[in-house]
Amino acid sequence: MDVALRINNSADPRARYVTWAPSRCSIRVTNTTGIIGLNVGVELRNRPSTAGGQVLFSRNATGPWSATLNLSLPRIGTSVPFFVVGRFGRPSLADRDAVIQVRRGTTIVLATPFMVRIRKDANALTPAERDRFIAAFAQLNNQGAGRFVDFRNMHTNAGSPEAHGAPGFLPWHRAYLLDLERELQAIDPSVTLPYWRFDRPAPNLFTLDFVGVANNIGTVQFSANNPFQFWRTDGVPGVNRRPFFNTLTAGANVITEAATLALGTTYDGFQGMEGNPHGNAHTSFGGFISSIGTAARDPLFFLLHCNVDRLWARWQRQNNRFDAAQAAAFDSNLPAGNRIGHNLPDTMWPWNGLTGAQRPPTAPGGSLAMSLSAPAPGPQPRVRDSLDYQGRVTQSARMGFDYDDVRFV
Amino acid sequence: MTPKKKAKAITKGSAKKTRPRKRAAGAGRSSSSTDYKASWKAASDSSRSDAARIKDFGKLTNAICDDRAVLNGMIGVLRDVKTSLDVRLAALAALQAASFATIRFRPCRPPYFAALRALATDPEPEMRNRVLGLLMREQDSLAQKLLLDGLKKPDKALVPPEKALQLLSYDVKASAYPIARRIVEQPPSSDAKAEALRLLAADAKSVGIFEQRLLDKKESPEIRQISAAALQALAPEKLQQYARDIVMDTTESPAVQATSLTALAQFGKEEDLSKDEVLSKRVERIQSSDAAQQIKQSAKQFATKYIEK
Amino acid sequence: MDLQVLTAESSEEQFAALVETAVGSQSVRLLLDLLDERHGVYEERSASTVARMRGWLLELISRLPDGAPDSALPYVLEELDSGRDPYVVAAAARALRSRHRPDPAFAPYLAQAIINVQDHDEFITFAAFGEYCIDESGATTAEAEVRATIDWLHSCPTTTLDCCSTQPSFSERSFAGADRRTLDEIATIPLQDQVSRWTTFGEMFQGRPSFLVFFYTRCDNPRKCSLTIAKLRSLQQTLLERGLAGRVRTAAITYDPAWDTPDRLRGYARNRGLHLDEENRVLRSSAEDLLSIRRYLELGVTFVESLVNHHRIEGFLLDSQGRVARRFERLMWDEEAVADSLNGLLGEVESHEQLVSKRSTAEIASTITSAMAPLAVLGASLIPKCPLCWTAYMSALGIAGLDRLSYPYWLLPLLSFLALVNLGSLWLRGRANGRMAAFYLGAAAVFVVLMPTTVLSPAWIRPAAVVLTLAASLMSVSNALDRLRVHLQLATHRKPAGQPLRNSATTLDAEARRPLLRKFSRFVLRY
Repeated sequence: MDVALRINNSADPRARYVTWAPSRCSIRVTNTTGIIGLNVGVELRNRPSTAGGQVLFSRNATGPWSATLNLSLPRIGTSVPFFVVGRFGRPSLADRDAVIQVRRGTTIVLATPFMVRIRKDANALTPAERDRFIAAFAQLNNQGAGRFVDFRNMHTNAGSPEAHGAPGFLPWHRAYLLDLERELQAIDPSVTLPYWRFDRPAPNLFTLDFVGVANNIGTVQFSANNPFQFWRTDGVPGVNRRPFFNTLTAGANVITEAATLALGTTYDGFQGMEGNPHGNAHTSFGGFISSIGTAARDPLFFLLHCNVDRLWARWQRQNNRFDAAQAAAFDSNLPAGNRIGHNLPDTMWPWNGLTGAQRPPTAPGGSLAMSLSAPAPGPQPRVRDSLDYQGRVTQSARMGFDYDDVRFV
Repeated sequence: MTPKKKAKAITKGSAKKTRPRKRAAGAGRSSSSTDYKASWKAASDSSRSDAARIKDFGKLTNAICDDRAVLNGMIGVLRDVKTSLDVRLAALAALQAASFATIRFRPCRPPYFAALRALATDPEPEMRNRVLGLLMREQDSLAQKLLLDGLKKPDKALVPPEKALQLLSYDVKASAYPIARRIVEQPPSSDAKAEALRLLAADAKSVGIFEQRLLDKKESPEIRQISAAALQALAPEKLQQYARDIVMDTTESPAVQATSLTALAQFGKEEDLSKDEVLSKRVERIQSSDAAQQIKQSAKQFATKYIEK
Repeated sequence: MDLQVLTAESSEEQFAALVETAVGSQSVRLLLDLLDERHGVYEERSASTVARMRGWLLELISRLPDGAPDSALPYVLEELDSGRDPYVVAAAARALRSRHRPDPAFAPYLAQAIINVQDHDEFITFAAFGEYCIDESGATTAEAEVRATIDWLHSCPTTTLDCCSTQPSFSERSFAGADRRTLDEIATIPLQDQVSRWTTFGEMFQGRPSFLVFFYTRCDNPRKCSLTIAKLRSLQQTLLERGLAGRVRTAAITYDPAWDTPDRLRGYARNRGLHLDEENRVLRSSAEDLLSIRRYLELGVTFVESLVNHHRIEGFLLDSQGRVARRFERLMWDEEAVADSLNGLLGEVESHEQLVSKRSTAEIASTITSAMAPLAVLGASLIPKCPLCWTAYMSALGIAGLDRLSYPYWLLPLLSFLALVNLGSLWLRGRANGRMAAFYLGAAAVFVVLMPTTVLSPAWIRPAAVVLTLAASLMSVSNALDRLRVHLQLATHRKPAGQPLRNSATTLDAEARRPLLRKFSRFVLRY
């Protein structure tokens, strides 16, 4: 007997990446040899392991979730849907280290490798995870000639009003990070964007083997086998970054995470985090990262913003603010509304390709990168699409990323 | 919006002077009026300890854009040379953080920028350092002029030459190449030489300078590594060939060999390198030797990509 | 006072002193000369220095008694439309406001200027050249100056914003008809494209109308090069919609060839969605050749070493012979206008092609007629027209049976002599034509005839010699194929790959002979 498994509605191995949020799957019989009767019972489970990714199963997107799932498959090959969620606390450490086993009795009829792909604390990455991330990022940069130049050009003074100083700040950056992450995953699908937890010391992050160590004038040094040593932006090699705090023993000059999450239970209060801790994290350094126009030249910028996004995700979960229809979930500033690009129904530059008038003169990078494991938010995301990133309101709105400390179930 | 409608919209408000609005349109209620006034009162109280004032400054980022009095007061603290440096730097950090809210910060920028220009010649070296960095990241012509003057006449220097070169690299059109080349030949310090080379790495005509330094075993590993990184962008095929030669040379510096292997692993042509048996054997020997960890790691990167596949 | 003394070596102080003197003496012409981007005074200076100098110039122009003249307007509007430096934008706004007549057509430029500077405005002073503001006292801002100019527009009694319906065409200069210089100077300059293919300027831009822009990947003004390439993409889309894609070319050449390698060119173009293929390319020359292109096209760009320190927006409409038909300067061109112009140039080509096609048909007919002339001559000569001819035919028939006669000892030397005379004639005519094939055929025939009759001389030798001799004679007297080939080349405006067109002297030679042949044909036919 043979069965075929689809994860994220696809048979393509490139779609086999799940997060904490439910992924729609299905299974069906493809070879009826040895099947007697109209149906055959199978059990879905994880391959036993002490490390690496694991999932929970359910017949429904809303649970209940369990470590195994028994299904009755029609002999005629009709697909039987089910859902998986990454088991919180058990993200993958490498690509395809998680395996769904389909058993019929004691026989394993199918073993499908996949990955529970989660954004993690940069300070806690394994060396292998760190090296894969750096290699992919350096390749995306390709000494200044790679696709990274679009991401650098999206975050300049010219484009700044699209992304800062108004309620769309968080949605815009969420889409921006997702776009970058998907480009990295096109190079190495096992990679996710790690976050820099800036209110705590991160001694494993500020090393020669990771984002580098600054000398006394702020020129960042990398080890000889760190691909970041070939990093180049605006035609100039290297990174300038001078911390104003001890990166090994202290966090940046920002308010604590608890204080950030307590900024308000409604969005118009919480968005003050753009100033502190976000702005303060930037200005805890001299160098590229401390000015809007040059910040995206430093790889650390993306880890900084990944934490900003994670803080938003944590705040959303804490206050149940995923639904764009909920007034408290966003600051629409009605009836006046916000600047173009900062209202819920607005498409976001540059992915919308709009230029001129109130938009910047050019729109680098084209539409937002697509992913086989999560079709949302689509090539031209709207502000509101960024809110329901886990698909809690609409399952299909799931964007295919999650944080190691922000659960779904 | 068509140019006609745009022109109409603009001209409707043309007579008004720009000033910080109490709350910028669509910007969000980001600072409670009562909270920030109290914080500002505390922060501006010079009788309080520096630590307490610094903490209060950190809470005023959003208020800077909302209240002209806070903006002016913050700039006043920044400019006041009698105030302690730490407090002044905290004011600078708060202003800088506020500048990230681009739309709301618009009316604040002119006085902020003017203050930065004034502080470019501040008596405190750390203040000059930070301010010149902020100005150069905006490609300010005054900052460029001051830094170039300082390199040409060291008695006028506001920052050390290596810092000046580092900051001048923010604008490749700052006309700093001639002086950078001079410093490469006659460096006042090794740091200055390194920064001069980094600046020249954007100059397509400097390929020869980097070739010379990469191939000179008497140069420091740092200089050679900078040269390798520069060549990888300016003349990648040359660098790939040099990198191979360096890896094959058993008398070479391990640090430079590690950099070379990384360059080959990251940017090499797969179709050539996967067939290069001589190089592959060399890499395998490095992996199994008692060489430094650094080079063994680079060898592993290379092997993973080209040998073990 | 001589502003010619201002060069790249002049100090900024010298510059300031001289231009202030020019204002004092109202030397408008000299001030305007300095506004030209190509002025040597801007070479080898940093970009920010150039900006300061140009800003100061605009400020001084605003102080002229009659305000900024019309000839300064393109420079002023350019800075408002695409300038980023608040100092220069402020000066441009002041220069515009110095004019006596507000024009509602300026409104869109002022609106754009506010958008350009509002996120990085600063305090500015125009008290003296090179001064910077360190506080608010006595200062203005770029936005304040632009808004003041907008208020000045309001003062125009006939102004309503409803009347500014179109942008004034300050940006175009058209060259029509006879002003189109040939491409000889730069036609052979090699260009490398985004996939490292080599071509020449002539090959790229001759044969079809083209639109050519200039840019470089390190331009940090998003309203210049980045927008130029983005608009080129938009133009490609417009051409596609109009059915012009593939019939015209679009191209961009970099100002920064040393840095802009094919990889960088390709990445930059691709990131802006530009379509790239044989007819649509991004290109670079060598640094030396860029000088020639710069000179020929009068590019508005200056450099500090190999880096661009200032440039204007520019686009060129090239006709099918690669000559400049129209240029767009300073203000961003409109895709519809460019597409219209390309369509117009295409119409010129098609009219010409139709004309050439008609001409070709006539020529072909004439050529065939001419080719027939030798045959007519031959035919005419073969028809017996008199008793002697009859005798000759009988002799020929007799010659055919010559081998049955007993061997006349004088025959071989005589025939050999006549064969050599024929060969000599073929050689002389071949030299005149530049084509020796006929001679070679005749020589082959003679060789064959004179081969000894041995086992190596098969029976077909003699008939072959007769055929070769006949062919050589016909080829020698006919240049029909030659003329036909030349006309076909001209009709398609292409040269065969790797081969130059026949030079005009040879063509004239062949052309000149045709009337002679006709005369000879008529002479023969009369008899």
